[in-house]
Amino acid sequence: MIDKVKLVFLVGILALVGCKTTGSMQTPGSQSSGSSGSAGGSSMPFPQSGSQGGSSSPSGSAGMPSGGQSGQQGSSGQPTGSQNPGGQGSQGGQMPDTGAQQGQGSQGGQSGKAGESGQAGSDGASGSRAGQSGTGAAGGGYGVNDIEGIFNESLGDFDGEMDREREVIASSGQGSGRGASERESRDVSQVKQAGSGGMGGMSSTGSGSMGGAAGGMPSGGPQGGSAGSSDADSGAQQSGTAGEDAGAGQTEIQSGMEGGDFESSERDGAMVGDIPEDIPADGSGDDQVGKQIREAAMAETDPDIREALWDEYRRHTGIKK
Amino acid sequence: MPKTRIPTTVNTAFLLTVVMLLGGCAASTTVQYENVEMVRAETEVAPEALLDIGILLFDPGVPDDAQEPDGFVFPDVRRAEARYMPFHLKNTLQASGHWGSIWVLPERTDAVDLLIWGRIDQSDGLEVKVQVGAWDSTGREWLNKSYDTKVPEKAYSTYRDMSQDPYQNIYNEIANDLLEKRKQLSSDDLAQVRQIAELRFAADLVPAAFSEYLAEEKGEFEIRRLPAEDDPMLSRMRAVREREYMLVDTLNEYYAGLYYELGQPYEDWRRMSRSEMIQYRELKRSARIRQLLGLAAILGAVAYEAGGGGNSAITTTAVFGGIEGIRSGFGKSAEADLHRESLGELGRSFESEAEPLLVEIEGQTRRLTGTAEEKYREWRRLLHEIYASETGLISLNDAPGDATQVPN
Repeated sequence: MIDKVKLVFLVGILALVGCKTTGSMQTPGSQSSGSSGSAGGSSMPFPQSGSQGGSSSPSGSAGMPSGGQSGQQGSSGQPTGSQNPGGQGSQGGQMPDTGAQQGQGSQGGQSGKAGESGQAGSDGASGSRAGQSGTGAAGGGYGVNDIEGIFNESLGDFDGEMDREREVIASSGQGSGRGASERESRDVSQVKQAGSGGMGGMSSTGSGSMGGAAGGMPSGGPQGGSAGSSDADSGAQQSGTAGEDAGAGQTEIQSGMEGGDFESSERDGAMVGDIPEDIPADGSGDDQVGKQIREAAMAETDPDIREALWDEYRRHTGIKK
Repeated sequence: MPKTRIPTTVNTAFLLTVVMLLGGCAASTTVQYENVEMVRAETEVAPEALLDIGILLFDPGVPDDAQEPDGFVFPDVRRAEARYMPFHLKNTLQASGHWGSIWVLPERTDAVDLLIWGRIDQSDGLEVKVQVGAWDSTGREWLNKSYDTKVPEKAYSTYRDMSQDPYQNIYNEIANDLLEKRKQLSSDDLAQVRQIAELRFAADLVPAAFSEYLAEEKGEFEIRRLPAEDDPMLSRMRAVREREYMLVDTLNEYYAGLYYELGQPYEDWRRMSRSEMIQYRELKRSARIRQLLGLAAILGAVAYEAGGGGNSAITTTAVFGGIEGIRSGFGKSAEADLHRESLGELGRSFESEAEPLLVEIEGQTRRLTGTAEEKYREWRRLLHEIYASETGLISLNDAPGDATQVPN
């Protein structure tokens, strides 16, 4: 009987010592892994954590069957676990992000070890077992949450780098924004040209028909036309002041360009200039006489005379109207 | 003095030669220019049908010896065009309204649904010829053909709609062909293209997790099965894919900078090159005809004599005419050489303008892709780690190392 009491007492002492031993083994281990885990999560370069994690995590599952199982359960039960640091039941195995969580894990381990072996496979204790095994075996490792954290952090770093790049591009005036500003300034310069032309010849044409107004700019007319305001009558009505005329042109054209609603036929019209459709725009094949007639027709502001010149050009080059 | 009868055939040939000589010298070419309209979306395209497009930087098409027989290929001009053209194609496709996001890419990526590739075979401001191919993520070929057009003078007018490139016909034609091909595909086909693109990117990123979802045979991909929508690995992969888009967006900002910077000098070069090229070709053609007809006139005179032609005036006229023809042919040829020189000057001038820009964009591209490659290596390894930890199906020792190819 005494022997039995002694035996029970001995077993009790051993159990307590065992627990203490385990605890003392685990605590530094978990503390160190906790600190290294958290530190590693934030500052350790991943290649190191990869090697440690690589050895610790699988050894937790392979070397320690129960821990391995619990680790498996922990992870299999957590597609969300990766996003949920509270895969806390398996924190030991899963290596939570912070030392505090590590602490919880080890506590769980203690309590599990303290005798509630029935829960060990299913609740937090199993995680702590896994944590113990992982910690004990490898002296520190990385769970999914850690890796996930590093992964997210790396994504964030990348986002930051790209943001900085874009800021640099934007501040240097490069990039796609430049297209819009260039286009704007080009429109403004075209409008200015039209406006100044309009001052010279505005009595014959109006705000829209820049070509006619510009006189020397043969293809300007259709440009004005394409902007939707080419109307000789309106031009005549608007011929009061040069300023008004130019201003009207500006308004019309900018609205046309910014709206981006040029019809394709209008665009083509803009490209053709003052040259009638049946006349080849490329006059490189013209002879001297043909060239002179063409130039005269293109420079002519009077539509009747211009048409007569184009007729002459057609006759000369054999183009049938 | 007996009247010598000139053989009819010799007479006819002789007269024909003289007529051709005169006619050939005076003839000028009439070029027919086409005008290709782009088909624009009239209604909003369903989001499922909006494919994302990647346009690879074009192959400059510079011959190995860097000099064609006529010496009109300028490597740096072509390199500039190889960056300018894809960006304008991107703008054109965007303007059509039929497509999703469109990027110019320095290298192939699986992050897009449709990949376009091009090679510049000719571009001198007057004529342009480009070979273009397009393949979707399933490996299906959409296009693989040569596009060419002649550029009218009006295409360089400063009063045109400046969003229209002088080579716009080609871009419009490519856009229309792509649209035509897309119309042939059902909405299921298009959905599959998008799914396969995603899975290909995923399989490239985390092969252990995603490679089994796809089957490949002779470069064509099929879906075996689809991952669960709530698969956390899928959402991680999508997070990386978003970064891929972010990267190419940033790169495209740089390409946009180059595009706008090159725009004016490139157009000036093309306009002047076109004009010089027309004159050069005209003079070359004229020179060739004159030389040939001059030679023919001399041969005709010889034949006339041999056929018993008794009129020495005809013989003399033909011979002198022939000589004059050949001489004037050489004169024209020399004149053409001046234009050729001028073309060379233009090319070199544009090259000197484009070169620093190209060097800069190369540097920026390398820096950015270098950063991204490093990140990709890291993400691959991390995702592999996560997958291994979550499933235990693979060994962490198989984690992708530095040698792994990045998808970009």
